Amino acid sequence: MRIPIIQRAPRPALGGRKSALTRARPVRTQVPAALEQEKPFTSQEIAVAGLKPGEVPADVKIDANAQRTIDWFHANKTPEQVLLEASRPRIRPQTPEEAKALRSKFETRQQERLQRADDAVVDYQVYAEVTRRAAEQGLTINSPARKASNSRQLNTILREVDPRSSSTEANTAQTYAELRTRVLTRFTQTDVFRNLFPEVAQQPMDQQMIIAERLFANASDFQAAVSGRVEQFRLQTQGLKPTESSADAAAHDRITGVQDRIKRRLSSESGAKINLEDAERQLQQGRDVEGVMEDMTLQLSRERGVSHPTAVRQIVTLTGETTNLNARIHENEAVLAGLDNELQGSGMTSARRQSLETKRTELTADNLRLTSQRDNLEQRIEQHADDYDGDLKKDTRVYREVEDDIYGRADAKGVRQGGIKSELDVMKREVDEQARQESIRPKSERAVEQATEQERLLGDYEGLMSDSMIDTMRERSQLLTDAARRKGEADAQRLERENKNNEARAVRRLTYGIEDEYSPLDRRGVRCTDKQRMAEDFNIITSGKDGLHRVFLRILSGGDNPLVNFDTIYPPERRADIIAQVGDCGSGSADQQWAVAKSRLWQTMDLESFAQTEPGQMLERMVQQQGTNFTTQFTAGLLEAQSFGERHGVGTLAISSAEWRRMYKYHRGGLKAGGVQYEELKQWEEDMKDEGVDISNLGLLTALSFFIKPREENEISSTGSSASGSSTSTSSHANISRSHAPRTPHTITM
Amino acid sequence: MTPLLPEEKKQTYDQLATAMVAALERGDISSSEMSKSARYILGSINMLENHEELVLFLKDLMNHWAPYKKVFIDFRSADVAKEDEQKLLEIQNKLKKLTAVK
Repeated sequence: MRIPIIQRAPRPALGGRKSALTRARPVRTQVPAALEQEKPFTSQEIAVAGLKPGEVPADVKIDANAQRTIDWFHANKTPEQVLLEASRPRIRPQTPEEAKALRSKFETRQQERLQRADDAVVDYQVYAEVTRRAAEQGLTINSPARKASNSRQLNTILREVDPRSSSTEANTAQTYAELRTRVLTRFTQTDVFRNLFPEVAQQPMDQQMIIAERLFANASDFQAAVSGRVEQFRLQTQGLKPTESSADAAAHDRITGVQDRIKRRLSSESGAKINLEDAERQLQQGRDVEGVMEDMTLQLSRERGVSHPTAVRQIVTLTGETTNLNARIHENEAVLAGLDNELQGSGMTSARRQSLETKRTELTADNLRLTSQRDNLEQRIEQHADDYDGDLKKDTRVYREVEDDIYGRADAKGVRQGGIKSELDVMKREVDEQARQESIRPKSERAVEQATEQERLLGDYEGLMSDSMIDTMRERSQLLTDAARRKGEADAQRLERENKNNEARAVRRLTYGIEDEYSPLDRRGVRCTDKQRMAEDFNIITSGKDGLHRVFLRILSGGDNPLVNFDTIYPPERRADIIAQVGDCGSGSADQQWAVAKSRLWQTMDLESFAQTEPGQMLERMVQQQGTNFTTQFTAGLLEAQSFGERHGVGTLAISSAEWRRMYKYHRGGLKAGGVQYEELKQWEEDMKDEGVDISNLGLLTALSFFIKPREENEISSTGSSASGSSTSTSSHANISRSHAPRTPHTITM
Repeated sequence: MTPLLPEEKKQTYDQLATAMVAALERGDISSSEMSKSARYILGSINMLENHEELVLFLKDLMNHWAPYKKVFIDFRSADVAKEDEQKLLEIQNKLKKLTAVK
């Protein structure tokens, strides 16, 4: 059969960066509406085209990029994997000089950022030390009442403290004022400050600085708040538990024993479901045993199907109180009856009669009060029962069973026995003992462990949040490390003075044994913002898929040029409407309400449906759900990110948290191995710019950087005969039609 | 319109990857073109909904990157064979009807 010859109609360029809509439908816009007639091929052509891999001559020169794809094919990867590998951007310097030039191109920028960061840290350290010394010497340095002698002393302190100032440089109060402004301005602009002290963040800048200065002066609250977040993360993440001492381990074993006993004492159903780790954590945080038992009751009630356990608990408690009141009322009534009888009798002295009548009046009044209370309670019970939309009878029974499990069964006198309170008391004692043991450990050891822990957390967080900022927590982490070392050294010296040389050596080993790389992130010039935000994000990630999407979108919203920016999406005149639609945005100022609304928009965004939506329908879905105010940039960014994720074998918006972590790990590993992937990404960005494509989506680039697959070798140094060029972006599709003009038709016989 | 079956998509991926690797080994396609074509394939193939679109896509692909022509031809041949089979069946049915009338 012959396939007739046709005239090809001009076709649009593939891809291109025109708009989100055109990019969303590559095939729809490119494939002609009707099937054209094909040009036949020669049988020779078909014979060549039909050759299978491995059937071709071996003398063909194949570059490293192509070879890698071929290797993947022969390694029995799936066709999709092979195509994905083939589709990856190809940036390969041809010579060592090119590689060096490429590196220096990025390293210069990184060095500049690193320098700025280091300056910021030194600023902070100098500021803190100068402030401390000035306070020690009683100097007034921030007040108009400053004296000339103060300035001289301040000059001396600054010269001594600031490693950047030369000995001859005249440091003045103005130098200090500038330093103070730099440090405090930077601090007040950090997310951690704004999140922790939102009310302060609303105040004028000079007020913010004064408050920030006070915080610095007494940073324990601030640090405790942040440490709490980090600690919360640590507890939630496996493998990040601090090293246990032998005493800790013993206490832990004892607590495990208590937990086993509790499980055995409860009914099998409750024993299997009860969350004793949570109970232990609450006790560690200082909660009393009764409070923990109450929570357990609610938890187990819920587990056993009670619809609204808190409501049932109220009803049960109120019923119990009513029963008690009734008992007292009946008791009073019996006494009153006796009094009445006695008063009806004769032969009683007037004093005795007076006394009995007084008592009778008191009891009657008491009974009236009790009856009123009981009626009130009964009314409340009825209201609760009326409002209850579940099976109240069943739920009450189940709740009482759970109470029996936890508090023990009530005897004839209503006293509960056989509950787990005594075991929880033991657990509480063990937890307290653990805390005591911890408190008596050498401070140097604890400080070092704490610093190590913080470093490890930083290490794990790094790369997750790579929007660059000089972060206060990094400074604090460094300060903590320094403090730990100073303390360790002081401890060691004290031990030496006491002739405890072995102990002194041990303390020194411990103190200086920490790896001196408090933030490897800094070496590549990418910075974390703050631990609080990182901890929050990690908490969200570990909380499930939906959280993961939220973090992804948050990344898109971050950086200098956020992709998803509600401030841009909704102009000021629209915000009142949005606030009204969102609802419950508080009664603060318009800006405060808008901040709440933005936060809630993130939370309520239907992320799951995004994840499940086909790419082609995504735009429509988003427009339907969010209105036309969604900018093209937003939709384009998401589509591009999704497309990128798909091309790299991950559904950008539908990846598991494990997958996320794996990619993050590889990403981080790749950066550490020589910055190959980061450079590629940056090169891609440069190429896009060279091609005249507007790449302002640094947030997107950051997000995309997480999805780059790992390299198996450091290919940046490869000098193979790559034929790749620098055109690696999706926009390079625009060139395809130029570089691949339709081929000359051929004829074949089929 | 014949809906595109998952097996067909899978088969397409398979044949395109095979064709691409064979072309790489022959030196018929450079690694940068490989990259571009792979991106185009991955970006487009998920959008296909029916068999007709698939054939159009393969034809478009073939017009830009000749190494993929075999895949297109294979799919077209299969279609043509199916069409021929259908026609034969129709003819046979007509013949049977004619025979029955007699």
